[in-house]
Amino acid sequence: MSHTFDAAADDLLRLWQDTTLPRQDPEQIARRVARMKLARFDRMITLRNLREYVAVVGVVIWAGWQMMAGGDRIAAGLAIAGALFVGGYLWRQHRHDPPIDPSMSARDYQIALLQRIDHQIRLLMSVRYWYFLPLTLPSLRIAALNWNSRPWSTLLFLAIVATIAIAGLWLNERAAVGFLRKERARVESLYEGEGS
Amino acid sequence: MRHTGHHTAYEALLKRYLAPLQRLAFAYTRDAGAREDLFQEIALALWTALPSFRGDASERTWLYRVAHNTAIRFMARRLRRARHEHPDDGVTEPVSPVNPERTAIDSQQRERLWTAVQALPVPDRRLVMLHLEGLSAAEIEAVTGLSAGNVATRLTRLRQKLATTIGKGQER
Repeated sequence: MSHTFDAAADDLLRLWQDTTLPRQDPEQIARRVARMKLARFDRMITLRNLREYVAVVGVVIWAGWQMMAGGDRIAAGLAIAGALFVGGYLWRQHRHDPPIDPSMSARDYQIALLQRIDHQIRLLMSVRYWYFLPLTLPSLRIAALNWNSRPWSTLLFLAIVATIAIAGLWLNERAAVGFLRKERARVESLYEGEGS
Repeated sequence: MRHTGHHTAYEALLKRYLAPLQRLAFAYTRDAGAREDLFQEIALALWTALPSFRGDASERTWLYRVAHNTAIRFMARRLRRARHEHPDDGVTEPVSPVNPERTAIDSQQRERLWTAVQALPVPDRRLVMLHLEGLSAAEIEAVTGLSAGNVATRLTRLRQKLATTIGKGQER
């Protein structure tokens, strides 16, 4: 019986390994791949962070220029401090974030993938504290300064700031986190029933 | 184009494992376009990971780890886009045998084997693929990170299931 079973198993291996698919040229594949760079996912994260760093530099230059041009020094100072804080926080969060090593065992790779997603979720869930709060403070200072002289335009200004903040919060805490949770479920579903 | 050491080693690796990698991509997705994309991603992941290969694991174990992990990530992305794409049609494409005089029965059995493997849940499929490529239980353990006992139990069940599938078809 065992002999029959082994023979059947050997037959499966033979059937599988005798399968040939349209031949590709390894040299051609190597040339093509050598021209390609980072994997898409890691490139996406790098590009998104790069965009944030460019925005930080933009805010610092703009606020510095405001300061030199005789604008409110406290508001400009708050803007520079807020932008540097956001940039620094992002850098700190991602400095130990190299691409996940694909030569790990499947189990370790799954853990690393899920940890990466969970880290992103935690970062997005706290975005109101480390992103929106520091960047909103200079706007509140400007509003306080102008409240007595131009109340209606200040009110409009505050409404615009609040709308942008609420939209940003919704995009990050709801939409992006929802997307990542689905991504997490998809990764988990691909390892379902694996055990240990 | 000047070939560096990395390039030469990579090309040699591809030459050695081209057929297993093609079979791996074929087992993960039946859609021809997606299969091509997956193969490209695996090829790219191997290129990127090759310089960090220190020989702690066997070349084969290392290669299958990279290939399967890349495939899983590809599948997760594909599930995300699934509603915008044409779903797999469920039909296994004909696979030509190495030997032209291979019997029609062999060809039918092969087709049934592929259909059965492609229908398995991803973790089982990965286990079966590794087994069918001839990896030992210890190598499968190293690739998947599962315990030896778990690998053995599941493989016994899966091999029986596959052998029955093939056998049943033959009886008809």
